[in-house]
Amino acid sequence: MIGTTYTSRLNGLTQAAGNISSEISRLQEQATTGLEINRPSDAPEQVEYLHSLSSQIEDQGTWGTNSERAMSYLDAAEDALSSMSDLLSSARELATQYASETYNSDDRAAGADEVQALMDELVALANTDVGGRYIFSGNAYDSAAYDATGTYLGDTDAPATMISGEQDVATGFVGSDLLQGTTDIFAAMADLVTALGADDTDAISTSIDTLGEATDQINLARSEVATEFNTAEDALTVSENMTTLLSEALETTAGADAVSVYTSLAELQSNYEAVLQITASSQSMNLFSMM
Amino acid sequence: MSVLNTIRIGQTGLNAASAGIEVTGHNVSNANTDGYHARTLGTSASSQVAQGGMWFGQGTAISEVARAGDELVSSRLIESQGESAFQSSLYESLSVVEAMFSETDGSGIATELSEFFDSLEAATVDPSDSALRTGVLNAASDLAASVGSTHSFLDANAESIRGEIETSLESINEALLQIAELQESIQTDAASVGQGDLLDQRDAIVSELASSIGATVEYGEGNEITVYLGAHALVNDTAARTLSFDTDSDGNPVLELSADGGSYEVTGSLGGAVGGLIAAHDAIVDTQADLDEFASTFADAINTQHAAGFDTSGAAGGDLFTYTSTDAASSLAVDSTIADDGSLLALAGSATAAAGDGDNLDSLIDIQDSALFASGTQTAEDFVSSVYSNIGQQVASASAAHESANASTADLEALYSSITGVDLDTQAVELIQWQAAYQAAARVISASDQMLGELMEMAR
Repeated sequence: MIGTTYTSRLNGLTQAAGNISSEISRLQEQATTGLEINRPSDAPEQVEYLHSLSSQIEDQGTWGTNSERAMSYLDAAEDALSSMSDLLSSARELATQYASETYNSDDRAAGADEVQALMDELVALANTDVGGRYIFSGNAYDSAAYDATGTYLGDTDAPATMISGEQDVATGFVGSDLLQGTTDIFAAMADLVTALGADDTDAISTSIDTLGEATDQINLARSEVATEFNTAEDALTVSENMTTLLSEALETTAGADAVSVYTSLAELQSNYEAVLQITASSQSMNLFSMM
Repeated sequence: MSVLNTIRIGQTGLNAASAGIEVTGHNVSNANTDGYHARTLGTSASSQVAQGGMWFGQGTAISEVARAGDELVSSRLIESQGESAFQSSLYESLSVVEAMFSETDGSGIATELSEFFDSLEAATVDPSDSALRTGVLNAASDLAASVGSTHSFLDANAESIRGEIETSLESINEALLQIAELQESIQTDAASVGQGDLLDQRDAIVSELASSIGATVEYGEGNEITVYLGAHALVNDTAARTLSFDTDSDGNPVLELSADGGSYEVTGSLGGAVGGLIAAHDAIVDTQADLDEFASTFADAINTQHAAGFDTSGAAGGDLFTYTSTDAASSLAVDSTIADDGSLLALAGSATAAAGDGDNLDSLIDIQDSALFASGTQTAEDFVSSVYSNIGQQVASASAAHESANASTADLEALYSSITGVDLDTQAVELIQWQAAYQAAARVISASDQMLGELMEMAR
């Protein structure tokens, strides 16, 4: 007859207790870390996906930071261009004023000084910097974009920063393109100064139109900056949303269901106690103890 | 037929019952002794004698003290113990290794690799910014350190495993000798009652050998066994061979079995715990090779691109990473000159580039998406993930196999124990039976004594 020996019964109970204990340890780890996947062997087939999610979350964080920094530069560019537009309007008003026959040559000479002052302000705005970074110098943003006469000193390539896997956004501009592309705003101002100094009303009248075109040039530039700003702003929003979505995906894939974990833990603890009780009582379960 | 003869017949019954109680007592006493096989007393009727044309029995005789056993189940159990120990050993060893690849604390090669590329992407805001350049160098150093420390960790584990294997051989060889000596004693004491205990000792050692090296057993005539490792006999009759440890030119463990006039390699035949350690060692070496491949291929790709760029002074870039070809992973480091001077990072696309030129920086970032590995099918991040996945897969497989083998072994142990172990209920019944037999035999003697007394009274 085949019977169950005390030793084999005890071995079986010990193994059962060991298995339950291991499972309890596993669930306790999940409860502690909040993760169902704590090591590659917990889900080898998910490793690449989880690494990809973590890497993408890191990327989104970097792209978000890059977008914010780009927005700070673009904001400064917009402020500068807005002020330039105001200056050009003021210059145009002066041109209109001094084109009138009611002013004499002395008045126009004084007007030339006024416009020169505006020109100096315009150059200063074109040399706007954020923490020593010149916005309109192109890639040569470590030095001023213009000299006092409005001559461009910067680089012909514009800097850009990465705001997604496929997209860059401008963090500066090539002044010679942005401010002197179709219409050279500095030349327009210089021409007006010259015309006023020469008391040349025809040339002053011509400057009115030229300054109008210069204003259009600035408006075009503002539009370009606004487009870049919106791109950066959108990228920031996308990176924030993507970070949330990716984190949720990571949580869904690797995270532990707390309710399930604690319910299973309670069940296993009951089972463990039952096995221990059976182990204790099995010692006296034999015929000898009843003889 | 005489009354005196009846008393002698009763005595044989007393002797048998007494021996039966003794055997039962021995069984009960060893109920918890590992490797003990239950004994049963065998009796047979004594030879009859003819008297007055009729045959009369002469009582009972003790024929044997049988030791419970089942060679088929025993063989299967020994194989299962070897497999269980192999999987347990492999699982435990690889679990230790896997800890280095968990990345739960936010560090590790995968994390550092991702952060390295993030640092490059962050530098696109201002390639000339010294803080961002330092960020790139720090990330590169962290990546190199992570690869190196992971490789070193694996090295330490491989060394520990080799030491464990070498140390275990001493007790394994001792066990082989003990089996041979016990076989000799069993042959010498074949007729003695002590044979059962010798067999228990021998089988316990065989069981240990199955667990340690995956030895198997072939049962021969009588109680003789031959112990095998694969197709190689470890103990044959009363002769034992010994195992020796060595390492090959790559530092991998090599085990050799002594033979007449030399030895031959049996590394591939090893099972049990030592076999599991060797399998774990192989897995570690494979992972180290993967790390070496990652280190050299990745460093080469970065260095090639870095050399195509220019630093802030307009000088062409040198190697960003350095390593030695024989030990790429553990020697991987950021070039010491560049590590101390971020301006030497060659992020610009031309020697005369302006501060914001990040053309080469963009090319370095593009390496993140370059399929550098697995014959142009995997990026660096894919490759690292596959290394992690491989380790995880091996641990998961070993875990499943370990659980399955343990369950199988537990079932076989329960079956074997039910055949050979001491069941206290059965022994209690045996005790009652032998007690009753003793009382009955004593009654026979008592009745015969009374008859003899009455005869003596009549003669007075």
